[in-house]
Amino acid sequence: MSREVRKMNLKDESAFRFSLHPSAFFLLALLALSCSEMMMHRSSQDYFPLAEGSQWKYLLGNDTTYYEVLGDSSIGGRSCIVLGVDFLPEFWLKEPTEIRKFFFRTISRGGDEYTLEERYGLVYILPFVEGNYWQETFTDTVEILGTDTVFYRHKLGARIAGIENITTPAGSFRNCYRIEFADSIQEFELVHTAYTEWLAPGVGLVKRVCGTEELELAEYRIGP
Amino acid sequence: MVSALLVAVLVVGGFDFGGQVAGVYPVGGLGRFHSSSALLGGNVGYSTGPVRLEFGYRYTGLPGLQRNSYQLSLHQLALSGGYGFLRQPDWGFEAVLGLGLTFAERTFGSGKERGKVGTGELGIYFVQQAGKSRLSVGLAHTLFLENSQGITSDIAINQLFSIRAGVAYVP
Repeated sequence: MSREVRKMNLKDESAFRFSLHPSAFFLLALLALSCSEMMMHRSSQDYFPLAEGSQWKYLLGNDTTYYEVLGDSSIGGRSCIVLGVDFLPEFWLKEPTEIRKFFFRTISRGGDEYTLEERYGLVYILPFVEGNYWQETFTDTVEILGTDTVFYRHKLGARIAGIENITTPAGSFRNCYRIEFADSIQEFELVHTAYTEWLAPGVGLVKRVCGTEELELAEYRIGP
Repeated sequence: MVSALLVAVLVVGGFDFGGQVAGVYPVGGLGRFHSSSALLGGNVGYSTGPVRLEFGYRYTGLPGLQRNSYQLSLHQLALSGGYGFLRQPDWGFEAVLGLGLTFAERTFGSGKERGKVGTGELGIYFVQQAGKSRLSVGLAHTLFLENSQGITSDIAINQLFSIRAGVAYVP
């Protein structure tokens, strides 16, 4: 009797194992194959989310900087997104293939204000692909006081230098693109600024290094 | 001579050889940067009763939006199993479940990224078989599964939807 029972148990167990094997094999194979370089993930992610209500808090040395998406506006005849940086507005234009920022620069001479630059300048070309680079140059000659002229040039170039994992006080971020910028403005003299940004999928800017200054994400909230 | 013919019949019996074309539509996050495109592929199938096994290669090149030079190229190898239902003498339906590996490449200007990704596929097809030809038309849902942190942590899933048509020669 006990022998019969034991046999039945064995049979049941083997039947169970047989029914489990194909699905378990399929799942394991799927999971094994799923280990990858996350390329498809990167190609589908928003690296510069500007959903209204999003907030980012950064640490810059001992100081704190706040970024917040305040809403929509219209500048230069185009609708744009207003990003408050320490409550001062920046105007951004986000399209499927590029992201532009509204640059507005003036000089004062003889009590009058002269506009040197007033346009949406290219900041990012989308989607990000490691090794890609872009550059945009704006030039203008502005007449001042009716007699003098100022040659103005603003050149902003960027290169996607790598894909890295970054840890900041806000946490660890995988698959960040490291983008190296070269920003030069010639007004009366040439001012050149080089800085590097790390952008994380679904989060945006997590780190920026400019010379000895290091901006790091401390807290964030995406969306309303 | 007769035995050679018999062996040949046994070897190719149940097999079919064909190709596929499809319209491919990126959905979800992939739709953020990619336009729809076409798929081309070739496959070898083996049928026995309602069950069909297929091994195939497919190529899709998804262009970027607004005519920029960005492209995502997908070279997909897949092994799939199908089960026929509502079968009639000449036609029927087939549900397909597949597993594969995709070699992907993104290019944009001077930028290039390469990677491989595990692929799962679900499909349903209308199949017609007449004489030595096998025609299929159906819908397929391709899932790209990625995980850089081992099998226990979260898996990123991206999707393509396709409307496919295939033709095969049945020796």
